[in-house]
Amino acid sequence: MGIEGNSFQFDIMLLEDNHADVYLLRHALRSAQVPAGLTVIDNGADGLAYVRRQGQYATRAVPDLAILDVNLPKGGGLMILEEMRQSGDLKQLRVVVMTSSCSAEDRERANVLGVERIFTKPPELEEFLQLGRELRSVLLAGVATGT
Amino acid sequence: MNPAMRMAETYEEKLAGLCRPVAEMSPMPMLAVQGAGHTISFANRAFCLLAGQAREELIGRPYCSISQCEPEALALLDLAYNTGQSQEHTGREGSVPHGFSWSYSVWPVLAVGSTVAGFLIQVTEVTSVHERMTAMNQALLIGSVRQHELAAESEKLNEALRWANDDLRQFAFAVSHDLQEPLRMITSYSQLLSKDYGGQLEEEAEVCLDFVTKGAKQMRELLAGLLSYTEVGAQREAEDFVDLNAIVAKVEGNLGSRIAETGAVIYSDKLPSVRGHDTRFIQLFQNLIGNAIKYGSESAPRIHITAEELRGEWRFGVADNGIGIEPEYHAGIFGVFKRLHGQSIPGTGIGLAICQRVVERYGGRIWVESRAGQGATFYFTLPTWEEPDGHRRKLISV
Repeated sequence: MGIEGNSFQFDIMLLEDNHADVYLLRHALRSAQVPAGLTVIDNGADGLAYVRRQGQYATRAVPDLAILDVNLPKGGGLMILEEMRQSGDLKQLRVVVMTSSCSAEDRERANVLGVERIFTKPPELEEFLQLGRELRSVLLAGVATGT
Repeated sequence: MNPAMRMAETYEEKLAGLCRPVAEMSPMPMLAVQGAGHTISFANRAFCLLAGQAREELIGRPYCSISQCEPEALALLDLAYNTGQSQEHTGREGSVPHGFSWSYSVWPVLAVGSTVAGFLIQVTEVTSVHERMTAMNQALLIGSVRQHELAAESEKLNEALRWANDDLRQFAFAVSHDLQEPLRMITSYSQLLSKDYGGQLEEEAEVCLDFVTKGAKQMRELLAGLLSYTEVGAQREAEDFVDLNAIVAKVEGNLGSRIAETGAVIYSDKLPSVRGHDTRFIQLFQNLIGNAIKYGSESAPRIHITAEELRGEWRFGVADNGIGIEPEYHAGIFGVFKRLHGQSIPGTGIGLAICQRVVERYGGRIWVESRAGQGATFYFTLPTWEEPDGHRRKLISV
């Protein structure tokens, strides 16, 4: 996938149950001038359906990036990541983990499963906007390597 | 009076002068009896004590009338009387006072013509070492059972205390941790509002928004402080040999910009190594040195860190030339969120509470000596630590 004119946007799957964070992330991406279409999933069950290509997600294209929140009721981002890495067309998907608090074990587990970055949700707005710029570079690196 | 009695009397009289005082003073209970009826003619003080009877109650009475008379002892006397042979008998445990065992030695006193006139009876304690040990062990056993019960009881209390502490820690952790999330929303969105719409707001609205932002920031710092306070001792941490010189160097690095800004000078004596977790000692020194800089007077902060060994523990001092603390506030400043200054000197009031928690966690004490305007010295103690090879690490002389 490449950048083709103004209509292009990155396809990002976002697993996040806090709508305020979803809004902040959209804002951060916009501020970083990242054209992005977000598919927001706010619970683990829908997350699994997405990964397994079931129900409403059966015909979804492979996204450019998945942003997964670790702390979610009914199975957080790491469970989804694990499922993703088992098999299927999302096995090689670029993943960023985002969390409000991440234990050393969670961090280790995420790294073993394979992630681009692990972000701690920053308390300052300015740092959140910085996060948007970091996501931009992750996405562009994906374009460069063709993954 | 029978002939034997008369002869015995004669015999006794000969010896009386010599034997009586000796027998009287003997620590062994002794008794003399006469004739076939074994009439008591003499009882020493030890025997009276053993029998629990006055001398007058004994003299002239038959042996069988004494309170501790055993059938076996009586049979023994009869046997000796008839055979003229000395006899010995070991009494049953418990047959005499104190629960010990005694033996009766019976010597016939022979009259002329080898007729038995009477007996000298000596009672000897023969409680064996084994029996004494058994008795003592029993006493010990009873004692240790009781001790065990007490230990179990105190273990139960400790367990309850651990639960309560765990609960409290979990609660404090949850509060400080989970409250961060909604607070992050308040902070982020008030900042977003101010950033994106700042120019469009009326002046009063901007002032309000500013208070929201500042309040949220203060709250965040308080929660972060509470979180790090609860983390001290939240879990069992690996303890190691920590070189405090390295800790102070690390802290100086962490506080680098503030040291540069204020022109602070830090002198440190050679410090020992102590047992603990390095993160905790960084917290301790960083708070104390940080305070010494923060509460400086008009001249540049001068901080002196000392260590001396006193009565098996280290006493450390962090002395400064700052604004000092009036004595009436000395005890209160170690409390959680306790502060002596308003917002002119920013802070959360958790720093010294953390220091106290760290020091007490490792079995030490912390206090301050200071007067307003005359600087402050924070002292704390930590146990000296025996190294595995048995040598205690001493201060390295420079």
